[in-house]
Amino acid sequence: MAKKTILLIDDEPELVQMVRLRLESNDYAVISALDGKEGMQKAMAEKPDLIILDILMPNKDGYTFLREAKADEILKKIPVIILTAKSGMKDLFALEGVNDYILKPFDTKELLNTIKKHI
Amino acid sequence: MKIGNKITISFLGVALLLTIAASSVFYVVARNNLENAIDNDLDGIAQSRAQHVQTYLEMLKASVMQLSKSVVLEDLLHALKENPKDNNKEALHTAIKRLERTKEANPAISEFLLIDANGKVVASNNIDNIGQDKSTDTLFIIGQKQVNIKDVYYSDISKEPLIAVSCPFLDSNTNELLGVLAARIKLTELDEILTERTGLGKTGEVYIVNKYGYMITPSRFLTGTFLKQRVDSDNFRSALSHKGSYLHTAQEPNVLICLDYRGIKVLGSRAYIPQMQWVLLAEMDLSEAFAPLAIIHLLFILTLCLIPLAAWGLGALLARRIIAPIHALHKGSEIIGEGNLDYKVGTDARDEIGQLSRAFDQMTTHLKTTTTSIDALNKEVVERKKAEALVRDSEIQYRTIYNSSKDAIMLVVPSKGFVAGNPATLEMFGCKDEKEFLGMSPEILSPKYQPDDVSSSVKAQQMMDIAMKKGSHAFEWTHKRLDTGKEFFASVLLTRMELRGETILQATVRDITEVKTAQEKLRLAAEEWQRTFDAMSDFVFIQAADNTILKANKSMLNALGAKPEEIIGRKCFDVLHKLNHPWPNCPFEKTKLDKHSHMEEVDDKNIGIPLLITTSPILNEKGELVGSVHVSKDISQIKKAQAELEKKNKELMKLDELKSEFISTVSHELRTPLSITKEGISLVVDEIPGKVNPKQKDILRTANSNIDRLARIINDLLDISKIEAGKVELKKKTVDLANLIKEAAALFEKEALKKCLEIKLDIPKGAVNIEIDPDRIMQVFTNLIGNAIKFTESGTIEVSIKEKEGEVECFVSDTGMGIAEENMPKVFEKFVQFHRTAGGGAKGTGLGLSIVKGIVEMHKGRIWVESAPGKGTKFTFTLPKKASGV
Repeated sequence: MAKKTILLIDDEPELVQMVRLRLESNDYAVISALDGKEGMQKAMAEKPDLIILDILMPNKDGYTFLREAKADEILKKIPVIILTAKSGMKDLFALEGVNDYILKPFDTKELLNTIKKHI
Repeated sequence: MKIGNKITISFLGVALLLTIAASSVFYVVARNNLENAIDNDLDGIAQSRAQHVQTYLEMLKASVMQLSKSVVLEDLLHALKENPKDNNKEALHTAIKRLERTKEANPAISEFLLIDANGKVVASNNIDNIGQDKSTDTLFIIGQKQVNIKDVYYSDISKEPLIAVSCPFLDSNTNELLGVLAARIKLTELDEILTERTGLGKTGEVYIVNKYGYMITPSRFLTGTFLKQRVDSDNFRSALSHKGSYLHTAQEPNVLICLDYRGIKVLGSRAYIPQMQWVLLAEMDLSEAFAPLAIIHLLFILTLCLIPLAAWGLGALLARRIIAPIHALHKGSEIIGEGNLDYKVGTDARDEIGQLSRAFDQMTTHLKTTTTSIDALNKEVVERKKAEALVRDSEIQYRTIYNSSKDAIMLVVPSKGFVAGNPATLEMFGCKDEKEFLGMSPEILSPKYQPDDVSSSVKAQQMMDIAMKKGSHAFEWTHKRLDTGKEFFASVLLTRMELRGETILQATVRDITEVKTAQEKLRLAAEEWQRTFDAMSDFVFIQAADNTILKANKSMLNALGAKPEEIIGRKCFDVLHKLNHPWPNCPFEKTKLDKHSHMEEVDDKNIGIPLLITTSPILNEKGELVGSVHVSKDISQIKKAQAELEKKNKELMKLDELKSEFISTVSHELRTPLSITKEGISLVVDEIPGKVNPKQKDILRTANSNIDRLARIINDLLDISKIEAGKVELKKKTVDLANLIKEAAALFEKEALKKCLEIKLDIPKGAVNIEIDPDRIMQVFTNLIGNAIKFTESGTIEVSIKEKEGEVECFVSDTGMGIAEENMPKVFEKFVQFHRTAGGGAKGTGLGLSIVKGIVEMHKGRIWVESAPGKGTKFTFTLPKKASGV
């Protein structure tokens, strides 16, 4: 069985590096992007199984990204997990159908468990 | 009593007595005679009628008996006795003829019956009767023995009242009883006897009553009385009690007064008819019978009235004749007594009174001559007395004025000093008596100097000189009392006058200290008011209802740079606003309308500074507006300060916003490196990059848990800053609080188990529905329970909720170390931590209880803490069931 692909969008390369290590050690294929715009291009091209999304990013913020993804016939089916330092936007995302909102600094187990819920 | 009246009354008395005596005798005699006459009359009628009736009855008997001697009838009876079978027609015919003849001779007779010895009717003028059996009839039974009359009865056959007479029919030779002859007789004759009215007047009547008390002869007044009208009058009963005799006994009055069968008062007499046991009553209405008596009565009273009247008239006339001259004399003497000595009373009469009157006139003439001279003397005396009294009165008046005047009145001779002083003078100057006062000069009663520093003696002389020259002089003077030395103000009036050829001065001195004091007080009050008015730093002026400035204080005048006369009397809008009409922004315009004080901040370019103006109405006693007090305050400083304050406020608000933004940004910025660090350490601990020894692992774990703590501090900081900035929006919904507590307790199950602590829940069985933000209240419970576990080594953590009216009371208590009393007030303060080292598990942030308090208060609840060091702590808070308003 092929590895599940996770698209990780975050503007902090060091964090991306850390999370990538963690996910790969847990047998996931990881694609990453450093801003929303890039994320959208990669999501369109790769059609990952799951997207881990930051909110505060240059070029395109997480919320705009999500609104665009939800407007796309294919992308809207991909589950999204919000992983952010920004508190207080949980409800806003819930309105878009995204209920997994993990606040940084996150607990590794919590993140993995959440991913497992979807793929 | 006058002599005339005495005579009249005596006359009247005698006449009255005589009249009464004579009239009474006459009246009694007349009355008795009349009564006797009436009585005898009526009794006579009764007796004579009774006789008449007796005679009539005897006559009836006789006529029947006579017929019983009839041969024709005897023959018939014999014939029938001998040949009972034969009808003996001839004899019968003859007998009937005989009977008819007798009847015709006596029309009162209704019919005859000839009855044989067996009781059978054998002959009758009424053929219908023949053959009837009368053997049981009393007519037959008694008639066999003697002649007898059967009492009246009503015949049903002939329809009329009848009386029947029967007698034995004897054989003319042998006297043997052959039968009985009976006759039925109409009562017409009897009635005629009784209805004869002679001597009975209009109401008198005579009638017969049978033994049963029923009337058998006609009534004068009623019809249909025959055997029907019952009579039970005293008159009737009196007759029955003397049966057997129709003559009166001595005891029984001939006539008595009683009620008759009609119930009318009558005079009645009676007679008894023993043969028939009938009572004959003769009666006459009392009113008629005694009518003549009434006339006598009237006559008597008339006499009684008339005679005294005549006697009085006569007496009065006689008295006048005697009295008149005496009266004239009396009147004359009265007139003379009043002083008219010219009056004459003398008359020509030759009697004693005439002589007396002439003597009287002589006496008056003498009297007249003597009185005239006395009169003249008297008059003179009276007039002199009057004049004296006038002088005396006026002296008393002046003396009274002089003595009782409150003003000091004195006389002074410039060269000799005082020569007189009234009591008020002595009182005013404190002199013991007038002696001490007399001879003093005015300066002794004054201080050494007058207020104008002129010596009193010099000034006194000046004043007196002026008065002497001008005739009078009024001035004010400071005096001094002799006894106490006290000085007082006085007004003095000096008047020049001549007394016994000497020119002197009369001085009137009035103490005006009180007036002066009052004036001074008034002056001080006005001065004080003006000083106060001027002391006010506000610009104050008083204006009339028509905006005219009446008064302005010093500040006001200074501000305007004007003198009072430059603005007083002018309109305020003219002076202040350079307008020719009231300034519309002035609060006085409002005060004019509602008579209340108004306040307004104004800024008129003509004035140049911002002012706070207050206008307070001035009302007169009727409550009408007469003006206002206009107070203006320079508020330019206040305005400046206000503007600065506003500016500072804005800056502060901006800072606050910056702070919130800062915290928000900082927390975000902190989280990112924290998460990288944490994840990095986690990767190493999980040995993803390679093996690590246990000691290294331990250190790395400690580092990680402190990263978590740092994250918690950031979260709490963010929370508390939001709560304090009021930026937290509660997401309220109705939830079951009991369930929420169970969830909260479940989160701490493991941790409690680790420390062998029991978490005891005391919650109602049912749901406790309440409108709250569940996430936030959860935060409250987790904070409190977390704290409780952290600070408790053994025992129980109790979480309880209790429903109360309108709210729910919750508490979280522990059996831990408690809080020292001095720390109690600081429990809910930020970054305050007691026993930092206490307990295991996650370290606190020092913000938990501040957040808890903030959340509870946002829910409009209250929170408090009770604690006993070493025993435990109990946090209690309330939450209203319904979110009110917000």
